[in-house]
Amino acid sequence: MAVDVRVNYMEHDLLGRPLGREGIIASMDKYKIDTAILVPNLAVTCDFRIGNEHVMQIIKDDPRLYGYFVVNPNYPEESIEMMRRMMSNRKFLAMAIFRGASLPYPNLDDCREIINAYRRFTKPVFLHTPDADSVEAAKEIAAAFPTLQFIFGSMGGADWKRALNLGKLINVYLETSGSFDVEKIEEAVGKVGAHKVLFGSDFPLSDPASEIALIRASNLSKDAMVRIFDQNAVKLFGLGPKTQKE
Amino acid sequence: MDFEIIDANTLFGFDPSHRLDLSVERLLRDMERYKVTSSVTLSTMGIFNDYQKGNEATMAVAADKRLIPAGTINPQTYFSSADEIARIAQNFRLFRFFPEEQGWPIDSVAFELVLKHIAPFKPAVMVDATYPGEPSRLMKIVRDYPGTVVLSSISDNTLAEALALMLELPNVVVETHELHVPGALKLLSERVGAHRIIFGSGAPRRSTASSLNYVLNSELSHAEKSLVLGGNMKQILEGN
Repeated sequence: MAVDVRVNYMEHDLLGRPLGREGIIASMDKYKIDTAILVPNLAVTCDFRIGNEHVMQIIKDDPRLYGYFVVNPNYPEESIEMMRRMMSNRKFLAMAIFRGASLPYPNLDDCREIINAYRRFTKPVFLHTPDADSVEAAKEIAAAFPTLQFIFGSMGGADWKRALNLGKLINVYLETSGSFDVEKIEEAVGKVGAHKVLFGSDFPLSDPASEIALIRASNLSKDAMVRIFDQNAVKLFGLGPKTQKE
Repeated sequence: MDFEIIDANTLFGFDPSHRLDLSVERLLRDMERYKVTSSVTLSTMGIFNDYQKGNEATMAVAADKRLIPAGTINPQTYFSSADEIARIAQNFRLFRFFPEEQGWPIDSVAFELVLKHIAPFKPAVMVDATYPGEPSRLMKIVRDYPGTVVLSSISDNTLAEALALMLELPNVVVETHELHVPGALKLLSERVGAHRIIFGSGAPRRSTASSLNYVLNSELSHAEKSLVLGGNMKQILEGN
């Protein structure tokens, strides 16, 4: 079993070919991925309201697909209102923040109000961290909300080493998509532990073939691999039989 | 599936920005692990410090026939005469250029001059075109170059530009180490032909497993994969 914690829901892939649910499922079958958590791309790049609603329609009756609920710190009131309405649905496994309002990446000043309102749901928060600056800002958020679990998406990109220095933060998971530096996964496991690393492909922006090979080629124990590909996500998101049935 | 694999993009030496084993021994171990027949390689000294010393170090390791030497010249420190370049050029069938890591613009006139000086020897040239706009700016520089021009570091945000450049200039090919876009190899093979795609990994800094798996899992036919993984680079190195 494998859980891909980062798949972008898009109607077309980067080459302009139709994608949608069918394309995502076909890719999951090809790479033996049982479960995927979808990022509503429309919500990230344009309209979070329509994007979240659309993905809910895609995932609601599909036992293999779940979603992130994306908020936009430029619209805190609207984000919170929609969150209160939709976040209790078990198909939305976490809230995701891809941008700030005053800065291009999620940061404490811009996100505090939304995260405060979100705490009652006790679900994880996905923060997009494609570079060093965004990692530092995400650390500040994670430190301010120690009772919530955070996922650092792309774990710093090319600056992934910055994401490994988590200090006393024990509420952070690293999602693996981003750079293909050969030592990344082993160092991540060495620094934060295999129980804190989550397999994410960033499909269809990136081919799962590359990410899977990066992890499998790492010199990790079988137990660590199982954790990264499967168990950590199952535990973090509560993907037990009960959730999957719903 | 057995292929003759030639990795067009490897390096060795010391990496000042990552604590990482980039030794020749490590490179050779990776090659054995992934059944890579031979690798085009060069010393990091030529990238980060002194290209002449780097080229000497590269030639030294090429005593091992599995390693094919790539030369490099830093246009920012290039003050050589055409005679001097003739001495360097005869050693290499491929030259690599690193505008991002060395901090010079890809349409640098100095770079244009370097290409003019090596052009009579017609080596292939591989250029990192990392950022949007760079493949476009490269067009003017390489339009009249008589050998093969290999675009390296092409990724999702430069793929369309690279394809447009390849459609415009038949001597331009693309190297795969930063390419992880699903379906991109099939698209390129349909638009410009699989003979214009060459496999590269960036090893041992980057994962050979990732780059190789991307090609092996692509929609290319077995014959096309064979070209991409080794056949095309073989042709380029033979000067065809």
